[in-house]
Amino acid sequence: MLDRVAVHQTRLRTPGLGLDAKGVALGAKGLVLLPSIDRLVAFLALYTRQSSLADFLRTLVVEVVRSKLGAREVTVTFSGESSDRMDRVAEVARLAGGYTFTGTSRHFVQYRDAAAPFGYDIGQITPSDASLALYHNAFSQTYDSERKIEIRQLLLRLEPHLDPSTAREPGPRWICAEAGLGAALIHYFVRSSVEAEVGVAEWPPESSFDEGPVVRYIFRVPAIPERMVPLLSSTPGLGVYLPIAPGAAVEVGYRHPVNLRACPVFSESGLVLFRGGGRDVLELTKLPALGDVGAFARVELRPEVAASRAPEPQARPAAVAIALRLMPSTEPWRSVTASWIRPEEMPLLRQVAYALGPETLRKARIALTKEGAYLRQSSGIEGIPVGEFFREIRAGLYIPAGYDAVPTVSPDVLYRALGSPSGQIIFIGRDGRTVGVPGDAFVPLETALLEAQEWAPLIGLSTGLTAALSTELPEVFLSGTGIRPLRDVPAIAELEKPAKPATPELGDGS
Amino acid sequence: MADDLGARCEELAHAVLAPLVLGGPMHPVRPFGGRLGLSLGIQREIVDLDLRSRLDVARVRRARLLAPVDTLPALDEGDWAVLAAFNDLVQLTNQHLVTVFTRRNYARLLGNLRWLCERIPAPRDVLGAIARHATFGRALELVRTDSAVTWWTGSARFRGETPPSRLTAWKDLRRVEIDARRIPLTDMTVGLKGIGVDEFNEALSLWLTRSPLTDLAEAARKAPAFSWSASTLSLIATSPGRSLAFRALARQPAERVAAALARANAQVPSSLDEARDLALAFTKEVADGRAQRAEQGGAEGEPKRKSSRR
Repeated sequence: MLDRVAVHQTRLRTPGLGLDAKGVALGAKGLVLLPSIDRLVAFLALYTRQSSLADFLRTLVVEVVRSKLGAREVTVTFSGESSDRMDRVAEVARLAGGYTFTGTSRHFVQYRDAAAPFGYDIGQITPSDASLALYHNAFSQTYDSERKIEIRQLLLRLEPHLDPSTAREPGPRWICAEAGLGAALIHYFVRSSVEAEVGVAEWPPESSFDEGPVVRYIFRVPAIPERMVPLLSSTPGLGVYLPIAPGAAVEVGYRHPVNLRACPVFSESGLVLFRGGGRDVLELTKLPALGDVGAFARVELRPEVAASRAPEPQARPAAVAIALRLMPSTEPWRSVTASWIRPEEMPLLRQVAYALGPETLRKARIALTKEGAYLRQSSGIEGIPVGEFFREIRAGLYIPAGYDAVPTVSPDVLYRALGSPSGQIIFIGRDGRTVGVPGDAFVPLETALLEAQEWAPLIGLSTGLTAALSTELPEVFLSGTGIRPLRDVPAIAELEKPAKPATPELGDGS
Repeated sequence: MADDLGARCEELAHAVLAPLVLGGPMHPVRPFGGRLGLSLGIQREIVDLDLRSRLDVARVRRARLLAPVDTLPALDEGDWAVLAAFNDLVQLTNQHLVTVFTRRNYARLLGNLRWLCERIPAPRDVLGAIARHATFGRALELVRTDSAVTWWTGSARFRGETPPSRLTAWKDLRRVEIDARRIPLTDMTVGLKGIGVDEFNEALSLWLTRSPLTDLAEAARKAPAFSWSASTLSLIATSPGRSLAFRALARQPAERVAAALARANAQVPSSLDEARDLALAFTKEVADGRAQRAEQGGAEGEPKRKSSRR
C-alpha cells in the first residue's frame, strides 16, 4: 500500500522523489505503463490530438518490459519536468487504459490522482535487481526491459485509417506517379497551366529479380484544381498525398492514427508517403531535385539571329603596325554597291521602299543588325538614297564612298590584315571602326520588307472555345417506356395533398 | 428503394445529362413526376467518376464563354430537379407514352411538370446561375430526327426512331427513299395527339425560367417567346448578373434580341413598376453596349452603367 503525501510534508522515502513548488511529489521522470502496443498507439493518438510530443521527444523512451511472471507490457518513459505536464499525460494515460508513475531511476511510484492530490510515497522499497520497480495502490511489480520501440518505426508501421474528408482539405499536395504515368501527368499539368514541381525519385529494387531501381515521379502541387481531383485520386498508379507534417504526407482519403504534426520524427529534407489500402510506406531519405513542370512545355527554336561582330583584335608587332585611316578622296565614285542605314534612319528606308521599283527590290539585299541595316546591290546602291554609301574595294570588303584607306595598301593586303574572315562582309566605317556582317545574313530586300511588316494579330472571339464546343448535337431517340410508364407520376389531385412526412429514399443519400 | 433511386439517378445522368452537356444520343428515361423529381437530388452525386470529370470539363468550358471561372459547384438538388423536369419535358414528346387506354398520360405528366417547375428553387447566387446555365445551356440545341420511309408499295414515318433495317433493305430494288428531318425541341410535339404545341412551349418556357441565364441567353429564340420572370429579373438586378446577361445576349443577333426584350418589356404589368423599370434599364444598357461595341469595331465591351441596381 502507498502512503498519501500530506500537505507541507518534506521527507519522502521513494528514492529520487521530491516535491515541486506546488507540493506535488515528482521525480525527474514520468512513466506510463500500458498493457499492449495498441494501447500505446491509442495513447499517442489521444495525446497528439491536443499536445505536441516535441517537448519531450528527446527523452521519450518506449520499451516492452517483462514481469517476473512473463507478462509483457509497454512503458513510456519521459522527462517529468512539471506537474502540469504530468497531469496532462496522466489524464490521457487514464483514458488509454494506462497507469502513470513518477520517479527518477528504477523506482517509480504512482502519480497523484483525485484520492491523493499531492501524490503518493512508498512505505517500503521492494528489494530487487530488476531494472524497473513500479509501485501502485493496487499492485507493486518489478519488470525487466526486453526491447525498445522506436517511435519513428512505430509510426511508419501504422496503417492509415479511411477518412474521405481529407480529400476536401485545401492546400498543397504531393503526387506520386508511377514511371509510366509521370510524363503524361507532366504534360497534363503543362496543358492545364497548373503550377507544379516535379522530381524523379528512386527506390531500391524490391527483389534481386528486378532489373533496376523502382522509379517514380514526385510532384509538388501548390493547389490542385478541383476538377482534376477525381481523376488524380482515382487513376491507378497515381497517389495524391496531403502534407501532414514537415517531411510526411498521408494519402488523400486516409488519416494516420497519430497526429504526425505533433511527432516531429521525420526529416524535413526527406519525405515519407503513407499509403492507404495496406500498401507499404514510401520513404525518401532525401527529396529529389524538383523543377517546374513548365520546363517540359514544348519549345520552338527561332532561327539564329545574325549580328554584326567586331573582329577580334590581334596583337601585331608594335614596330610595323600602324593604324588604318580613311582620307577623303577626290576621285569619282565607283563601285558604290553598299550602304549602311543607321537604326534612326530605318523609318526613312521604309518610306523610300514604297517608291522603289520591283527590279531594285528584287536585286538589293539587306542584313539587319544591331548597328542598323546593311544594304548591298551589285548594280549600284544609288537607287536607294538612304544611309551612308560604301564602295567595294575587294570582294567582301567595303570602305565609305569618297574615302581612301591610308596607307594605300592593296585591298588584298588590307583584307588579310583584317584576318581574311571567311563568310563575313567587312565594312570599315569613317571613324575607323570595322564591323563584319555574316554573308548569309543578307536576304533579298523584298523579303525583308515583307517580313519586317508589323502586323497586329487579331484574336478571334472565343475561337478555341467555340471550336471546342462544336461537339455533337444532343439528339433525342424515343423509345417505349415500359409498362405503366407513369408509375412514379402521381395524379394531379394527389400533388396538391401534403407530402408524406419522410419517404425512405429521402433520408438515404447516394 | 434508395438503391433503386440511386440507380435511376445514375441512369438519368448517363442517358440524359451526359448527352445534354457533351452531345450525342439522348434516351430519356421513365418520367419522374413532381414529388420524385423534387427529392431526387438530395445528397446525390454522379457515381461514375469519369463521366463526372468529363461533365465538369465541358461545363467549365461552357461557363468560361461568359465568365473566367475554373471550377463549378457540383449539381445540387435544384439542378437534379431541373434535370428530372427536362427528362419529363422530353418525354412529353414521346408518342409511346400514351396508348388507347392512357390518353390522359400527357395531361398528367404536364401537370406534374408544371408543379415541379413552380417548386424548383431558382439559383442561389450568380455562380449558381452560371453553373445551371453551364449544365442546361444546350437544351434548345436538342434535336430529333424524324424519318419518312417510302418504298414501292407503301410508306412509314418514324419519330425519333431509326427505321428498321427490314424497311430499308434492297434500296434499289424496292425503290426505298428515306427523308430524314431534324426537328428542334420546340417543334417536337407537332402532330402529336394529346398535347398541343402551345401547351408544350408553355411548359418549356416555364422550365427555362429555372435557369435564368439560359433563358436570357436564348432570348432571341423564335419559340417560346422570351418573357421576364422573377428569376431573370433577380439575375439582372445584381451587377455581376447583369454583366453576365449582357455577355450572353451579345452572342445573339442584335435585332432579334432588341425585339425580344421589347416584347418582353411590354408584357410586364404596369402595376409592377420596379420590375418594369429594371427591365427597361437593362434593355437600354444592352442597346448602348451593342452600339458601343459596334463603334469599337466589334471589340469586347460591356455597357457603361451610370448606376447599378441591387
